[in-house]
Amino acid sequence: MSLLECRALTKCFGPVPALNGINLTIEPGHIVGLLGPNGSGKTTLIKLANGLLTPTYGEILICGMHPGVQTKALVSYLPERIALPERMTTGQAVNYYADFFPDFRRDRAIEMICNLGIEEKQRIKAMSKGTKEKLQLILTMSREAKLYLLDEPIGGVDPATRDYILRTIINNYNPDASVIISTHLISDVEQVLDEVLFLRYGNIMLHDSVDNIRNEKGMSIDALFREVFRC
Amino acid sequence: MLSKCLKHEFRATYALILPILLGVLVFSGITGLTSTALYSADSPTVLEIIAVFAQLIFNIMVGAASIGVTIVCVLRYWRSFHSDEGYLTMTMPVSTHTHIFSKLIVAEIWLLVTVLVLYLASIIANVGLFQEVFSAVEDVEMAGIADEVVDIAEMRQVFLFLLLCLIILVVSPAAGLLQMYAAISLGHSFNKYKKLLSVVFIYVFNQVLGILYFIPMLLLLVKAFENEAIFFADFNTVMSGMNIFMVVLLVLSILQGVGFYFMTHYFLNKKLNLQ
Repeated sequence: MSLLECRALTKCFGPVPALNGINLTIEPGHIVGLLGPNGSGKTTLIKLANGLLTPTYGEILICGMHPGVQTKALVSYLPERIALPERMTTGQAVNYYADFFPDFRRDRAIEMICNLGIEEKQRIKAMSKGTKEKLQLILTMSREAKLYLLDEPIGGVDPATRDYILRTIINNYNPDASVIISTHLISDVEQVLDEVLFLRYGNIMLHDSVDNIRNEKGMSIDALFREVFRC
Repeated sequence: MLSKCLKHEFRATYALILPILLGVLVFSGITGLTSTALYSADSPTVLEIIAVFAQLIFNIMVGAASIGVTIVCVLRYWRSFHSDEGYLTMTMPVSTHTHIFSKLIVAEIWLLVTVLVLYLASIIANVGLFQEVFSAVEDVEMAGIADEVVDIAEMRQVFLFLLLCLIILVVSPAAGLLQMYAAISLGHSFNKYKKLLSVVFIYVFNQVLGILYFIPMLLLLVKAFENEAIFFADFNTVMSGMNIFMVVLLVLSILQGVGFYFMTHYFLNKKLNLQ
Protein backbone atom coordinates (compact mmCIF):
# COMPACT_ATOMS: atom_id res chain seq x y z
CA MET A 1 0.00 0.00 0.00
CA SER A 2 1.24 3.49 -0.84
CA LEU A 3 2.12 5.65 2.12
CA LEU A 4 0.99 8.82 0.40
CA GLU A 5 -1.34 9.07 -2.55
CA CYS A 6 -2.73 12.19 -4.18
CA ARG A 7 -5.58 11.95 -6.69
CA ALA A 8 -6.26 15.11 -8.67
CA LEU A 9 -5.41 17.01 -5.51
CA THR A 10 -6.25 20.70 -5.78
CA LYS A 11 -6.11 23.41 -3.16
CA CYS A 12 -7.18 26.94 -3.93
CA PHE A 13 -6.79 30.01 -1.76
CA GLY A 14 -9.41 32.28 -3.24
CA PRO A 15 -8.94 32.21 -7.02
CA VAL A 16 -5.30 31.11 -6.75
CA PRO A 17 -4.58 27.36 -7.01
CA ALA A 18 -1.71 26.52 -4.64
CA LEU A 19 -1.90 22.91 -5.85
CA ASN A 20 -3.32 22.13 -9.27
CA GLY A 21 -4.60 18.60 -9.80
CA ILE A 22 -1.63 16.75 -8.30
CA ASN A 23 -1.37 12.99 -8.90
CA LEU A 24 1.33 11.41 -6.80
CA THR A 25 2.27 8.16 -5.10
CA ILE A 26 4.99 7.68 -2.49
CA GLU A 27 5.93 4.12 -1.60
CA PRO A 28 7.58 2.99 1.66
CA GLY A 29 11.31 3.10 2.12
CA HIS A 30 12.19 6.31 0.27
CA ILE A 31 13.65 9.66 1.20
CA VAL A 32 11.92 12.11 -1.11
CA GLY A 33 12.98 15.68 -1.71
CA LEU A 34 10.00 17.98 -2.22
CA LEU A 35 11.74 20.76 -4.08
CA GLY A 36 10.58 24.00 -5.56
CA PRO A 37 10.87 27.76 -5.30
CA ASN A 38 8.93 29.80 -2.79
CA GLY A 39 5.19 29.61 -3.41
CA SER A 40 5.35 26.39 -5.42
CA GLY A 41 2.97 24.48 -3.12
CA LYS A 42 5.39 22.43 -1.00
CA THR A 43 4.04 23.53 2.37
CA THR A 44 0.46 23.33 1.11
CA LEU A 45 0.98 19.68 0.11
CA ILE A 46 2.49 18.89 3.51
CA LYS A 47 -0.32 20.65 5.38
CA LEU A 48 -2.92 18.73 3.36
CA ALA A 49 -1.20 15.45 4.26
CA ASN A 50 -1.35 16.45 7.94
CA GLY A 51 -5.00 17.41 7.86
CA LEU A 52 -4.18 21.06 8.59
CA LEU A 53 -5.89 22.02 5.32
CA THR A 54 -8.77 20.42 3.43
CA PRO A 55 -8.61 19.91 -0.35
CA THR A 56 -10.69 22.09 -2.64
CA TYR A 57 -10.95 19.20 -5.12
CA GLY A 58 -9.53 15.70 -5.27
CA GLU A 59 -8.23 13.72 -2.36
CA ILE A 60 -5.12 12.83 -0.43
CA LEU A 61 -4.68 9.47 1.27
CA ILE A 62 -2.23 8.36 3.94
CA CYS A 63 -1.94 4.55 4.00
CA GLY A 64 -5.26 4.45 2.19
CA MET A 65 -7.05 6.73 4.68
CA HIS A 66 -8.12 10.35 4.51
CA PRO A 67 -6.24 12.59 6.94
CA GLY A 68 -7.73 12.30 10.42
CA VAL A 69 -7.01 11.00 13.90
CA GLN A 70 -5.80 7.62 12.62
CA THR A 71 -3.39 9.06 10.03
CA LYS A 72 -1.99 11.54 12.55
CA ALA A 73 -0.81 8.55 14.55
CA LEU A 74 1.12 7.35 11.46
CA VAL A 75 2.62 10.67 10.33
CA SER A 76 5.46 12.45 12.11
CA TYR A 77 5.47 16.11 11.17
CA LEU A 78 8.20 18.71 11.57
CA PRO A 79 6.70 22.11 10.85
CA GLU A 80 8.64 25.02 9.47
CA ARG A 81 8.01 26.97 12.66
CA ILE A 82 8.75 26.13 16.27
CA ALA A 83 5.54 24.52 17.47
CA LEU A 84 6.75 23.36 20.87
CA PRO A 85 5.03 25.15 23.77
CA GLU A 86 7.66 27.59 25.01
CA ARG A 87 6.56 27.36 28.64
CA MET A 88 7.64 23.69 28.71
CA THR A 89 11.00 22.34 29.75
CA THR A 90 12.81 19.76 27.65
CA GLY A 91 11.68 16.99 29.97
CA GLN A 92 8.06 18.15 29.81
CA ALA A 93 8.20 18.24 26.01
CA VAL A 94 9.50 14.65 25.95
CA ASN A 95 6.67 13.57 28.28
CA TYR A 96 4.17 15.45 26.09
CA TYR A 97 5.24 13.54 23.00
CA ALA A 98 5.33 10.25 24.92
CA ASP A 99 1.78 10.85 26.16
CA PHE A 100 0.20 11.53 22.79
CA PHE A 101 2.23 9.51 20.29
CA PRO A 102 2.20 5.76 21.00
CA ASP A 103 5.14 5.22 18.62
CA PHE A 104 7.40 7.72 20.41
CA ARG A 105 10.75 6.27 21.52
CA ARG A 106 11.55 8.08 24.76
CA ASP A 107 14.96 6.38 25.15
CA ARG A 108 16.08 7.49 21.71
CA ALA A 109 14.93 11.06 22.32
CA ILE A 110 16.68 11.33 25.67
CA GLU A 111 19.92 9.91 24.21
CA MET A 112 19.93 12.49 21.41
CA ILE A 113 19.03 15.31 23.80
CA CYS A 114 21.90 14.33 26.12
CA ASN A 115 24.30 14.18 23.15
CA LEU A 116 23.32 17.75 22.33
CA GLY A 117 23.97 18.86 25.89
CA ILE A 118 20.44 20.15 26.46
CA GLU A 119 19.41 20.16 30.12
CA GLU A 120 16.18 18.33 30.98
CA LYS A 121 14.99 21.28 33.09
CA GLN A 122 15.88 23.98 30.55
CA ARG A 123 12.86 25.92 29.34
CA ILE A 124 12.29 25.97 25.59
CA LYS A 125 11.74 29.72 25.87
CA ALA A 126 15.34 30.17 27.02
CA MET A 127 16.88 28.19 24.12
CA SER A 128 18.45 29.63 21.00
CA LYS A 129 16.59 29.23 17.70
CA GLY A 130 18.98 26.55 16.52
CA THR A 131 18.61 24.54 19.73
CA LYS A 132 14.82 24.75 19.55
CA GLU A 133 14.93 23.47 15.96
CA LYS A 134 17.21 20.61 16.95
CA LEU A 135 14.97 19.67 19.88
CA GLN A 136 11.89 19.74 17.68
CA LEU A 137 13.66 17.56 15.09
CA ILE A 138 14.79 15.09 17.77
CA LEU A 139 11.23 14.73 19.04
CA THR A 140 9.91 14.29 15.49
CA MET A 141 12.52 11.70 14.48
CA SER A 142 12.17 9.78 17.76
CA ARG A 143 8.84 8.44 16.55
CA GLU A 144 8.54 5.14 14.72
CA ALA A 145 6.19 6.69 12.16
CA LYS A 146 5.20 5.42 8.73
CA LEU A 147 5.64 8.80 7.07
CA TYR A 148 7.88 11.66 8.11
CA LEU A 149 6.97 15.09 6.75
CA LEU A 150 9.75 17.58 7.32
CA ASP A 151 8.98 21.13 6.20
CA GLU A 152 12.15 23.15 5.64
CA PRO A 153 14.14 21.33 8.33
CA ILE A 154 17.42 23.03 7.46
CA GLY A 155 16.31 26.54 6.62
CA GLY A 156 17.51 29.33 8.87
CA VAL A 157 20.25 27.40 10.70
CA ASP A 158 24.04 27.35 10.39
CA PRO A 159 25.85 24.77 8.21
CA ALA A 160 27.04 22.69 11.18
CA THR A 161 23.46 22.46 12.43
CA ARG A 162 22.30 21.51 8.94
CA ASP A 163 24.76 18.60 8.92
CA TYR A 164 23.53 17.52 12.35
CA ILE A 165 19.91 17.66 11.21
CA LEU A 166 20.58 15.60 8.10
CA ARG A 167 22.57 13.01 10.07
CA THR A 168 19.74 12.78 12.60
CA ILE A 169 17.22 12.20 9.83
CA ILE A 170 19.28 9.45 8.21
CA ASN A 171 20.21 7.70 11.43
CA ASN A 172 16.81 7.70 13.06
CA TYR A 173 14.04 7.25 10.57
CA ASN A 174 12.13 3.97 10.40
CA PRO A 175 13.55 2.07 7.36
CA ASP A 176 10.04 0.81 6.47
CA ALA A 177 8.83 4.38 6.39
CA SER A 178 9.29 7.21 3.96
CA VAL A 179 10.62 10.68 4.59
CA ILE A 180 9.50 13.71 2.60
CA ILE A 181 11.81 16.69 3.02
CA SER A 182 10.58 20.00 1.73
CA THR A 183 13.35 22.48 1.07
CA HIS A 184 14.82 24.90 -1.39
CA LEU A 185 18.39 24.28 -0.17
CA ILE A 186 19.06 21.52 -2.67
CA SER A 187 22.82 21.17 -2.45
CA ASP A 188 22.72 20.45 1.28
CA VAL A 189 20.00 17.83 1.13
CA GLU A 190 20.80 16.16 -2.19
CA GLN A 191 23.25 13.73 -0.57
CA VAL A 192 20.46 12.05 1.47
CA LEU A 193 17.72 11.91 -1.17
CA ASP A 194 16.81 8.93 -3.31
CA GLU A 195 13.79 10.53 -5.03
CA VAL A 196 12.99 14.08 -5.96
CA LEU A 197 9.73 15.85 -6.71
CA PHE A 198 9.90 19.24 -8.40
CA LEU A 199 6.92 21.52 -7.81
CA ARG A 200 6.18 24.78 -9.60
CA TYR A 201 3.01 26.88 -9.37
CA GLY A 202 1.22 23.91 -7.81
CA ASN A 203 2.15 21.46 -10.58
CA ILE A 204 4.57 18.54 -10.59
CA MET A 205 7.40 19.32 -13.02
CA LEU A 206 9.41 16.17 -12.30
CA HIS A 207 9.16 13.05 -10.12
CA ASP A 208 12.06 10.66 -10.50
CA SER A 209 14.79 8.84 -8.60
CA VAL A 210 18.04 10.68 -7.97
CA ASP A 211 20.05 7.93 -9.65
CA ASN A 212 17.95 8.16 -12.83
CA ILE A 213 18.37 11.90 -12.98
CA ARG A 214 22.13 11.73 -12.50
CA ASN A 215 22.49 8.94 -15.06
CA GLU A 216 20.15 10.34 -17.71
CA LYS A 217 20.81 14.02 -17.33
CA GLY A 218 24.39 13.77 -16.17
CA MET A 219 23.96 16.52 -13.64
CA SER A 220 23.37 16.93 -9.93
CA ILE A 221 19.91 17.63 -8.57
CA ASP A 222 21.04 21.11 -7.60
CA ALA A 223 22.19 21.84 -11.17
CA LEU A 224 18.97 20.41 -12.62
CA PHE A 225 16.91 22.48 -10.20
CA ARG A 226 18.71 25.65 -11.27
CA GLU A 227 18.08 24.76 -14.90
CA VAL A 228 14.40 23.91 -14.46
CA PHE A 229 13.60 26.87 -12.27
CA ARG A 230 15.78 29.42 -13.98
CA CYS A 231 14.30 32.92 -13.62
CA MET B 1 -6.83 10.75 25.24
CA LEU B 2 -9.25 13.10 27.05
CA SER B 3 -7.60 12.43 30.40
CA LYS B 4 -4.16 13.20 28.92
CA CYS B 5 -5.47 16.39 27.37
CA LEU B 6 -7.04 17.42 30.69
CA LYS B 7 -3.76 16.70 32.51
CA HIS B 8 -1.76 18.89 30.15
CA GLU B 9 -4.39 21.62 30.16
CA PHE B 10 -4.25 21.88 33.94
CA ARG B 11 -0.45 21.94 33.82
CA ALA B 12 -0.56 24.72 31.22
CA THR B 13 -2.87 26.94 33.29
CA TYR B 14 -2.33 26.35 37.01
CA ALA B 15 0.91 28.36 37.17
CA LEU B 16 -0.95 31.47 35.98
CA ILE B 17 -4.30 31.05 37.73
CA LEU B 18 -3.31 29.79 41.19
CA PRO B 19 -1.16 32.86 42.01
CA ILE B 20 -4.07 35.13 41.02
CA LEU B 21 -6.47 33.32 43.34
CA LEU B 22 -3.95 33.02 46.16
CA GLY B 23 -3.17 36.70 45.86
CA VAL B 24 -6.84 37.60 46.24
CA LEU B 25 -7.21 35.28 49.26
CA VAL B 26 -4.14 36.68 50.99
CA PHE B 27 -5.27 40.26 50.43
CA SER B 28 -8.76 39.38 51.62
CA GLY B 29 -7.19 38.36 54.93
CA ILE B 30 -5.46 41.73 55.21
CA THR B 31 -8.69 43.52 54.28
CA GLY B 32 -10.63 41.45 56.80
CA LEU B 33 -8.26 42.39 59.59
CA THR B 34 -8.67 46.07 58.83
CA SER B 35 -12.44 45.82 58.27
CA THR B 36 -13.14 45.37 61.97
CA ALA B 37 -11.93 48.96 62.39
CA LEU B 38 -14.83 50.22 60.28
CA TYR B 39 -17.39 48.86 62.72
CA SER B 40 -15.62 49.68 65.95
CA ALA B 41 -16.50 52.96 67.68
CA ASP B 42 -13.03 53.53 69.14
CA SER B 43 -10.88 52.78 66.09
CA PRO B 44 -8.28 55.41 65.15
CA THR B 45 -9.18 57.43 62.04
CA VAL B 46 -5.98 56.33 60.30
CA LEU B 47 -7.00 52.70 60.61
CA GLU B 48 -10.45 53.48 59.26
CA ILE B 49 -8.91 55.19 56.23
CA ILE B 50 -6.61 52.20 55.67
CA ALA B 51 -9.63 49.90 55.96
CA VAL B 52 -11.55 51.87 53.32
CA PHE B 53 -8.62 51.80 50.89
CA ALA B 54 -8.09 48.11 51.56
CA GLN B 55 -11.76 47.44 50.71
CA LEU B 56 -11.41 49.48 47.54
CA ILE B 57 -8.27 47.64 46.44
CA PHE B 58 -9.85 44.31 47.33
CA ASN B 59 -12.93 45.06 45.21
CA ILE B 60 -10.67 45.95 42.28
CA MET B 61 -8.72 42.72 42.81
CA VAL B 62 -11.93 40.67 42.75
CA GLY B 63 -12.93 42.20 39.41
CA ALA B 64 -9.41 41.85 38.02
CA ALA B 65 -9.17 38.23 39.18
CA SER B 66 -12.40 37.16 37.50
CA ILE B 67 -11.42 38.92 34.27
CA GLY B 68 -7.84 37.66 34.52
CA VAL B 69 -8.82 34.00 34.92
CA THR B 70 -11.20 34.27 31.96
CA ILE B 71 -8.48 35.86 29.83
CA VAL B 72 -6.00 33.10 30.78
CA CYS B 73 -8.52 30.43 29.72
CA VAL B 74 -9.37 32.15 26.44
CA LEU B 75 -5.71 32.86 25.62
CA ARG B 76 -4.94 29.20 26.26
CA TYR B 77 -7.46 28.27 23.56
CA TRP B 78 -5.95 30.80 21.14
CA ARG B 79 -2.40 29.71 21.80
CA SER B 80 -3.20 25.97 21.41
CA PHE B 81 -4.98 26.25 18.09
CA HIS B 82 -4.20 29.53 16.40
CA SER B 83 -0.58 30.28 17.25
CA ASP B 84 2.45 28.26 16.12
CA GLU B 85 1.57 25.68 18.79
CA GLY B 86 -1.38 24.81 16.57
CA TYR B 87 1.02 22.98 14.24
CA LEU B 88 1.63 20.50 17.05
CA THR B 89 -1.84 20.50 18.64
CA MET B 90 -3.70 19.83 15.40
CA THR B 91 -1.32 17.10 14.21
CA MET B 92 -1.65 15.01 17.36
CA PRO B 93 -3.82 11.88 17.06
CA VAL B 94 -6.60 13.52 19.08
CA SER B 95 -10.03 14.34 17.72
CA THR B 96 -11.16 17.95 17.53
CA HIS B 97 -14.05 17.08 19.86
CA THR B 98 -11.56 15.91 22.50
CA HIS B 99 -9.45 19.03 22.07
CA ILE B 100 -12.43 21.36 22.52
CA PHE B 101 -13.86 19.39 25.46
CA SER B 102 -10.52 19.38 27.28
CA LYS B 103 -10.16 23.15 26.95
CA LEU B 104 -13.80 23.71 27.94
CA ILE B 105 -13.78 21.38 30.95
CA VAL B 106 -10.57 22.82 32.40
CA ALA B 107 -11.65 26.42 31.80
CA GLU B 108 -15.05 25.70 33.36
CA ILE B 109 -13.42 24.16 36.44
CA TRP B 110 -11.12 27.14 36.85
CA LEU B 111 -14.06 29.57 36.50
CA LEU B 112 -16.10 27.70 39.12
CA VAL B 113 -13.09 27.53 41.46
CA THR B 114 -12.62 31.25 40.92
CA VAL B 115 -16.26 31.94 41.86
CA LEU B 116 -15.90 29.89 45.05
CA VAL B 117 -12.59 31.48 45.97
CA LEU B 118 -13.91 35.00 45.37
CA TYR B 119 -16.99 34.28 47.49
CA LEU B 120 -14.77 32.97 50.28
CA ALA B 121 -12.44 35.94 49.92
CA SER B 122 -15.40 38.35 50.09
CA ILE B 123 -16.55 36.76 53.33
CA ILE B 124 -13.05 36.98 54.79
CA ALA B 125 -12.59 40.56 53.59
CA ASN B 126 -15.88 41.64 55.15
CA VAL B 127 -15.57 39.77 58.43
CA GLY B 128 -16.18 43.00 60.32
CA LEU B 129 -19.49 43.52 58.53
CA PHE B 130 -20.58 39.95 59.19
CA GLN B 131 -19.80 40.34 62.85
CA GLU B 132 -22.11 43.38 62.94
CA VAL B 133 -24.86 41.54 61.06
CA PHE B 134 -24.74 38.49 63.31
CA SER B 135 -24.85 40.73 66.39
CA ALA B 136 -27.96 42.44 65.03
CA VAL B 137 -29.63 39.12 64.16
CA GLU B 138 -29.19 37.88 67.72
CA ASP B 139 -31.44 40.72 68.86
CA VAL B 140 -34.22 39.69 66.51
CA GLU B 141 -37.01 37.49 67.82
CA MET B 142 -36.15 34.32 65.86
CA ALA B 143 -39.08 32.54 67.47
CA GLY B 144 -41.45 34.88 65.66
CA ILE B 145 -39.99 33.92 62.30
CA ALA B 146 -39.95 30.24 63.19
CA ASP B 147 -43.60 30.41 63.96
CA GLU B 148 -44.40 31.07 60.30
CA VAL B 149 -45.95 28.01 58.71
CA VAL B 150 -43.73 26.66 55.96
CA ASP B 151 -45.71 25.43 52.99
CA ILE B 152 -44.29 22.27 51.38
CA ALA B 153 -45.21 23.50 47.90
CA GLU B 154 -43.38 26.78 48.54
CA MET B 155 -40.28 24.91 49.75
CA ARG B 156 -40.38 22.81 46.62
CA GLN B 157 -40.43 25.93 44.45
CA VAL B 158 -37.54 27.44 46.43
CA PHE B 159 -35.45 24.28 46.07
CA LEU B 160 -36.21 24.15 42.35
CA PHE B 161 -35.15 27.77 42.02
CA LEU B 162 -31.88 27.13 43.85
CA LEU B 163 -31.25 24.02 41.75
CA LEU B 164 -31.86 25.96 38.53
CA CYS B 165 -29.49 28.70 39.75
CA LEU B 166 -26.78 26.10 40.35
CA ILE B 167 -27.26 24.53 36.91
CA ILE B 168 -27.18 27.93 35.21
CA LEU B 169 -24.04 28.76 37.20
CA VAL B 170 -22.38 25.82 35.43
CA VAL B 171 -23.99 26.04 31.98
CA SER B 172 -23.78 29.79 31.44
CA PRO B 173 -19.97 30.15 31.76
CA ALA B 174 -19.51 27.15 29.43
CA ALA B 175 -21.78 28.79 26.85
CA GLY B 176 -19.83 32.04 27.23
CA LEU B 177 -16.50 30.26 26.76
CA LEU B 178 -17.75 28.47 23.64
CA GLN B 179 -18.93 31.81 22.29
CA MET B 180 -15.42 33.21 22.66
CA TYR B 181 -13.82 30.08 21.19
CA ALA B 182 -16.10 30.33 18.15
CA ALA B 183 -15.34 34.03 17.72
CA ILE B 184 -11.57 33.40 17.88
CA SER B 185 -11.72 30.50 15.41
CA LEU B 186 -13.94 32.49 13.06
CA GLY B 187 -11.68 35.54 13.27
CA HIS B 188 -8.58 33.42 12.58
CA SER B 189 -10.13 31.87 9.48
CA PHE B 190 -9.37 35.17 7.73
CA ASN B 191 -5.95 35.99 6.30
CA LYS B 192 -5.57 39.44 7.80
CA TYR B 193 -6.46 41.20 11.04
CA LYS B 194 -7.14 37.86 12.74
CA LYS B 195 -6.98 39.06 16.34
CA LEU B 196 -8.93 42.24 15.61
CA LEU B 197 -11.64 40.26 13.81
CA SER B 198 -11.81 37.83 16.75
CA VAL B 199 -12.55 40.71 19.11
CA VAL B 200 -15.09 42.13 16.65
CA PHE B 201 -16.86 38.79 16.44
CA ILE B 202 -16.98 38.51 20.26
CA TYR B 203 -18.74 41.88 20.28
CA VAL B 204 -21.07 40.95 17.41
CA PHE B 205 -22.03 37.65 19.05
CA ASN B 206 -22.77 39.51 22.30
CA GLN B 207 -25.09 41.91 20.51
CA VAL B 208 -26.90 39.16 18.60
CA LEU B 209 -27.30 37.05 21.74
CA GLY B 210 -28.57 40.07 23.62
CA ILE B 211 -31.42 40.33 21.14
CA LEU B 212 -32.05 36.57 21.07
CA TYR B 213 -32.26 36.43 24.86
CA PHE B 214 -34.32 39.62 25.13
CA ILE B 215 -37.18 38.51 22.89
CA PRO B 216 -38.33 35.40 24.82
CA MET B 217 -37.77 37.12 28.16
CA LEU B 218 -39.89 40.06 27.02
CA LEU B 219 -42.62 37.71 25.81
CA LEU B 220 -42.58 35.96 29.20
CA LEU B 221 -42.90 39.24 31.06
CA VAL B 222 -45.72 40.45 28.81
CA LYS B 223 -47.53 37.15 29.36
CA ALA B 224 -47.02 37.38 33.09
CA PHE B 225 -48.32 40.92 33.42
CA GLU B 226 -51.32 40.36 31.14
CA ASN B 227 -53.26 39.24 34.19
CA GLU B 228 -53.60 41.97 36.82
CA ALA B 229 -53.85 39.26 39.47
CA ILE B 230 -50.06 38.97 39.34
CA PHE B 231 -49.80 42.04 41.53
CA PHE B 232 -51.63 40.14 44.27
CA ALA B 233 -49.97 36.78 43.63
CA ASP B 234 -48.89 34.63 46.53
CA PHE B 235 -45.30 33.49 47.18
CA ASN B 236 -45.87 30.14 45.47
CA THR B 237 -47.11 31.75 42.25
CA VAL B 238 -44.24 34.24 42.18
CA MET B 239 -41.66 31.49 42.71
CA SER B 240 -43.32 29.37 40.07
CA GLY B 241 -43.07 32.26 37.61
CA MET B 242 -39.42 32.84 38.45
CA ASN B 243 -38.71 29.15 37.90
CA ILE B 244 -40.27 29.31 34.43
CA PHE B 245 -38.05 32.31 33.74
CA MET B 246 -34.99 30.34 34.91
CA VAL B 247 -35.88 27.34 32.76
CA VAL B 248 -36.16 29.54 29.67
CA LEU B 249 -32.80 31.12 30.54
CA LEU B 250 -31.28 27.64 30.94
CA VAL B 251 -32.65 26.44 27.61
CA LEU B 252 -31.30 29.54 25.86
CA SER B 253 -27.88 29.01 27.48
CA ILE B 254 -27.81 25.39 26.35
CA LEU B 255 -28.79 26.34 22.80
CA GLN B 256 -26.11 29.04 22.83
CA GLY B 257 -23.48 26.55 23.99
CA VAL B 258 -24.45 23.85 21.48
CA GLY B 259 -24.56 26.32 18.59
CA PHE B 260 -21.15 27.81 19.34
CA TYR B 261 -19.66 24.36 20.01
CA PHE B 262 -20.50 23.17 16.52
CA MET B 263 -19.32 26.46 15.02
CA THR B 264 -15.99 26.08 16.84
CA HIS B 265 -15.65 22.47 15.70
CA TYR B 266 -16.40 23.38 12.08
CA PHE B 267 -13.85 26.20 11.92
CA LEU B 268 -11.13 24.14 13.61
CA ASN B 269 -11.73 21.15 11.34
CA LYS B 270 -12.40 22.80 7.98
CA LYS B 271 -11.13 26.38 8.16
CA LEU B 272 -7.96 26.20 10.25
CA ASN B 273 -5.64 28.86 8.93
CA LEU B 274 -2.15 28.47 10.38
CA GLN B 275 0.37 30.66 8.60
